[in-house]
Amino acid sequence: MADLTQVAIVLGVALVLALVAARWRFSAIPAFLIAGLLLGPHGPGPSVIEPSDAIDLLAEIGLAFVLFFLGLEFSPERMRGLRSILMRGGFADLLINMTLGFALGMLLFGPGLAAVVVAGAVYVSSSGIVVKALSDFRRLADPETDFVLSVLVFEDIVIALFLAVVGTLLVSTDLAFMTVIGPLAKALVALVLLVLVGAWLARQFVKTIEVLPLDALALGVVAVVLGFSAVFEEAGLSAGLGALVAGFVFADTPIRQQIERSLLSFREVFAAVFFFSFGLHVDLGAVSGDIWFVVLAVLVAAGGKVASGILGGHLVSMRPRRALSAGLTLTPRGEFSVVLAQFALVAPALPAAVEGRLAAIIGVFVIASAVLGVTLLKSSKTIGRAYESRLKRKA
Amino acid sequence: MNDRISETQLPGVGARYTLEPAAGNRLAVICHNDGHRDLYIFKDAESDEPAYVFTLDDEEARQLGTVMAGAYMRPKVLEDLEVTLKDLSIDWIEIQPDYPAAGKSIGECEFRSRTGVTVIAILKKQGDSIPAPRPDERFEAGDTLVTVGRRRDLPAFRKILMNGVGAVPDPDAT
Repeated sequence: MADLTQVAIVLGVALVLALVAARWRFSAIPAFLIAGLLLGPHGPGPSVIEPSDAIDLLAEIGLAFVLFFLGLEFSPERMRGLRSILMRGGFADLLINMTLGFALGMLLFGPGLAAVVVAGAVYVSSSGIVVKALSDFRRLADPETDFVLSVLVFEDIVIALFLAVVGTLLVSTDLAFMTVIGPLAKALVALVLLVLVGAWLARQFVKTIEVLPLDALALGVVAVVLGFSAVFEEAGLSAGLGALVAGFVFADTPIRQQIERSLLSFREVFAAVFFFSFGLHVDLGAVSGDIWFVVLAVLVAAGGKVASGILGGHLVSMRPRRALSAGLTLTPRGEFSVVLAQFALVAPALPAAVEGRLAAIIGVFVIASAVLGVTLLKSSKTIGRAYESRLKRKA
Repeated sequence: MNDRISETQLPGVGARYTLEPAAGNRLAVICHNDGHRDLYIFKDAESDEPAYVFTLDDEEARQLGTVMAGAYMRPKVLEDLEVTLKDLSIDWIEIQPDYPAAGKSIGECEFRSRTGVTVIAILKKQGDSIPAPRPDERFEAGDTLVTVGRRRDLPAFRKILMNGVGAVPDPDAT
C-alpha cells in the first residue's frame, strides 16, 4: 500500500474516532491507541496498516508537538495560577504515585531504568483527558476543580523534568555511572545554551512577526520546534527534549497565545498520528503473559490517585468527599505515559525485549486506565458523597 | 474586580468569575482560553451542580455583556426600550477636555446625519443626566455620551468628537 494511502487511512480512522469520542463526551486519545492496536500488525485480524517510515515521521512530528505544547504551559501566568497552598496536593500526588509506580516497575523489571519509566508512566495523570472531561461535564465551578487543576500544573513541571532526565538516560548506550554523567552533563549544558540561544531567538522572532504576515508565524514556529528537535538528536540527546525546550523558550513571549491558537489544529492532527502509530507498535502478544500485571497496575494506579487525593485534600483542609472526588478525577492516564513509553521503545539503553514488553504494557495500561478513569471521574462526586456519609456514620 | 465577583485562574482552561448576589444564589462565568464562555447557573449558593449551563461564543458573550452593562448604567427611561443587538451596539463615550466637540450641542456636531449614530443619553458629570436629549442639548468635558448605532459607524462618530464636524463628510452634500 502506498505511503500516502496509508496515511490517508490513518487520518480517516482518526477522524471517525474523534467524532465518536466527541459524541460520547470522551477524549479521543485512548481511541487512537486502540485503533492502532487493532489495525496494526499485532492486532487481531488482518493487518490493515503496517508501520512505515512515513507514519513514523509524522508520529515523530506529533510527539514533538505534544512536548512543545507542554513546554508552552510554563508561562508566567500559569505558574502564578499555581497557588502555593495547593502545591501540597501536588507533593502528595508525587510522593504516593511515583513510589507506587516504581514499586510496580521493580516488581516486573527489577530495579533499573525500566522501573523508572514505569514509575513515571503510572505517576502522571492525563491533563488532556481530565481537563476536557471537567469542561464537558460542567465541573469547572466545583471547589475540587481548583485542586485538580493545580495538581495537573504541578505534574506538568515534574514530568517535564522527568522526561528531560530520563529521556537523556534512555538515549545513552551505557548506563554505568561514569558514562552516564557525561551525557547528563552534556544535556545540562546543551539545555542551558539552547535556552539562552532560544530566548534570544524568540525575541528576534517576536520582533519579526510584527512585520511579517501571520502565516509566517506558523511556518516559523514549526521550523523552530523541529529545528530544536533535530539539533538535540544530532547532539546525541533526545529529540523530544528539544521540542520541550522550544516550548519553554516561547512560553514567556507575548505571542504565546497566538502560537497556541495557530498551531493547535496542527498538533491535533499529528498527535492523532502519534498515538495511532504507538498503538501500531504495541505487540499484544508481548503483553499476554503480563496481563495480570496490567490489571494490578491499573488498580494500584487508581488507588494511588484516590489515596493522594485524600491525603492532599487533608493537607489543604478540603472536605473528605471533595478530596475523594478530586482523587478519582485524577485517575485517567494518557498522553505523557505514552510519550514515556515511546521514549523507551526506541531507547538504546534498554534491551529490545524489555522495550517491547514495556511499551506494550504501558500501552494497554493507558487504555484501561483512561477508560476506567473517565468512568470514575463521572461518578466521582456520588462516590465522594457516599464516602462522606460512611465516615459520618462511623463517627 | 469588586468584592461581589471573585476571580480564580484555572490553569489550562482560562479563568472563572464567581458572583454571589445578595439574592442568595450563585453564578459563575468560565472564560475559556479559546474565547468561548460557559455560564454556570446555580439554584442556591451551596449547590454543587449547576442547575443550568449556557455556552456562549465570544461574540454572543460580548453582546450579552453589553446588555448587562447597559442595565447597570442605563438611565431609567431606557429600561423599557427593547434593543436587539446584532450589528448595533450601545456605547459610553466620555468627553475628554481636549475634544473640539466639548461644549458643542448634539445638533451642531451633526452626529446622526454624518454617521448614523444617535446619542440616546447624556450622563452629566455634574447635575441630572439627560435622557433622549434634544439636538440643542450641549455636552461638556467630563460628560459621558450614551450612543446607539452600527458598530462600524462608531469610528466616524469618534472622529467628529476628536477632530471636529469637518472631519467626517456630510453624505447629503453634493
